[in-house]
Amino acid sequence: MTREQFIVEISTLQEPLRRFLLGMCHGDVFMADDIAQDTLLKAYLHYGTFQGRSSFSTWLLKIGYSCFCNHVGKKILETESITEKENLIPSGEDRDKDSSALYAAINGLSALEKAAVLLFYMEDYSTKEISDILGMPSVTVRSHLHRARKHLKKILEHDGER
Amino acid sequence: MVKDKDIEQFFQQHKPELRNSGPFLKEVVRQINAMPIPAAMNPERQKEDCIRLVLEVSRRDLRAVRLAVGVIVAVVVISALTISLLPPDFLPADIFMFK
Repeated sequence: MTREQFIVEISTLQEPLRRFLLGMCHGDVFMADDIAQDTLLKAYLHYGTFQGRSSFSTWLLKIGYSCFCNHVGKKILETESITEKENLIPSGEDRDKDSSALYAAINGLSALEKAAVLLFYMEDYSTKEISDILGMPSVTVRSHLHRARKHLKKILEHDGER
Repeated sequence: MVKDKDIEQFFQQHKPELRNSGPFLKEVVRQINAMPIPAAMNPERQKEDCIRLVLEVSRRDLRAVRLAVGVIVAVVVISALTISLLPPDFLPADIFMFK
């Protein structure tokens, strides 16, 4: 792949990457775009490490997730919801109003559950691809999805009653 | 009762909307263009690597052929020497034209 081909590739893939990071950052556009920019530059500089075992988009999202982890700190991800610990929820102006229901719904999830659920339902990735992106076995991804689903069902049911 | 399909629909309906995709990409492209081309993306470097690989493979093949020829020559020479050094009683009578 040449530099020009790389630019063509990222011009189509930047949207799912930014959308995923936006979900992870609870709608903080500046933070998400910062991480996305960092991701794309890292992908460019380390293109030699792409072995073609997974698709280019999977590889890009894997770098994106790793950049996100570096940004917010690995320890927080493994424990509770990052919004509770880091208070990442931005002010109303920075958040997309249509998506605030989505951010509210995924708010109680851990970062791994959030990532799995965003990739599965929003970006239509399979559990195998998600396992490549998050660097964990498919079984673990499925259990994260199961827990997230349970949580989301509860939230959506509650919203439906209101 | 909320089903799996409802969750999917909810995510699709509330997908975050991306703004400023154009300026974002423009800035990334500007930064990429300001950076040196990585070796993996350099076509000249890739060509050199391919040539080096072909040469290495052919050199390896040549080495194998040389080794095989060497072994065959050694076997023939040893066999010839053994036969010529054996006393005539050990040989069948008509193995050589002369007696």
